[in-house]
Amino acid sequence: MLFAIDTSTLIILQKLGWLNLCRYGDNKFIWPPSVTVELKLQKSKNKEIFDLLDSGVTNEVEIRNRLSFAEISTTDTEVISLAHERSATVLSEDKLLCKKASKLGLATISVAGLIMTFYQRGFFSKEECLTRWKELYEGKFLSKPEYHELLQGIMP
Amino acid sequence: MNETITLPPQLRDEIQTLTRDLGLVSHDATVQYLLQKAVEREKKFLVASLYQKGQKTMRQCAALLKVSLEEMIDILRDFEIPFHDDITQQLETANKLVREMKSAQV
Repeated sequence: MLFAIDTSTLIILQKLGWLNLCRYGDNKFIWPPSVTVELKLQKSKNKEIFDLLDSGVTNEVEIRNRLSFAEISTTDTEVISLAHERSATVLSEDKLLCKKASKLGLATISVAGLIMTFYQRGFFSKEECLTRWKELYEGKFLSKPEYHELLQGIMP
Repeated sequence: MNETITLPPQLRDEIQTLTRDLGLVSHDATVQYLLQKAVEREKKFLVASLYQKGQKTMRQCAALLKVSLEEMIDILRDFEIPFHDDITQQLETANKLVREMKSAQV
């Protein structure tokens, strides 16, 4: 699977200590150059993210044609443009970015949804999947109703 | 600039206690300190609400508050504002992606 990922989601993965999710299976994670620029401006310097980039696990990819969207910034626009060009799924925790991408007919997924794909593809056991969702909930990345909805989605 | 405000006795007493507990120099200093905290928190909450309503991206919210994206993520977490509110759709997308991938492999 090919995912175009945005800055905030990379930061969230780093905060969770989950950047190794980018190393599973045949998944590929790409982002536009503007995301790299933005990461460099963050206080924490995002060393682990750049290590992934340097090791070739993730890739910065140039955009040929940037789409145009009202209401969202250049970086978010570039993530959507990249997903559109490469037929990638948008991996983002940003609600408005996902809404814009969905309007273009692009598939969008959050980190919680990504975990579900890992379970369905056999990368994670059910226990691992449940543990990860619990961590998202306890880290306040998920609300209680969402967490319960996720649990219902996996329980027989 | 001087402002005059009327405080109910109980609140005044609480501010006096806080002045002592916080080691601040005066009642006025405590009121200023508390007001500043309250204004900052309210600003953050208002901006976070824009994200919650789907009117602004995290990045735009960060710019409005003049904080980094990392700090904005933590502000949303502090207010327990969910990043997404469409988990059913997320699960459907996950199912669809895996189905498509498996059928492409066959």
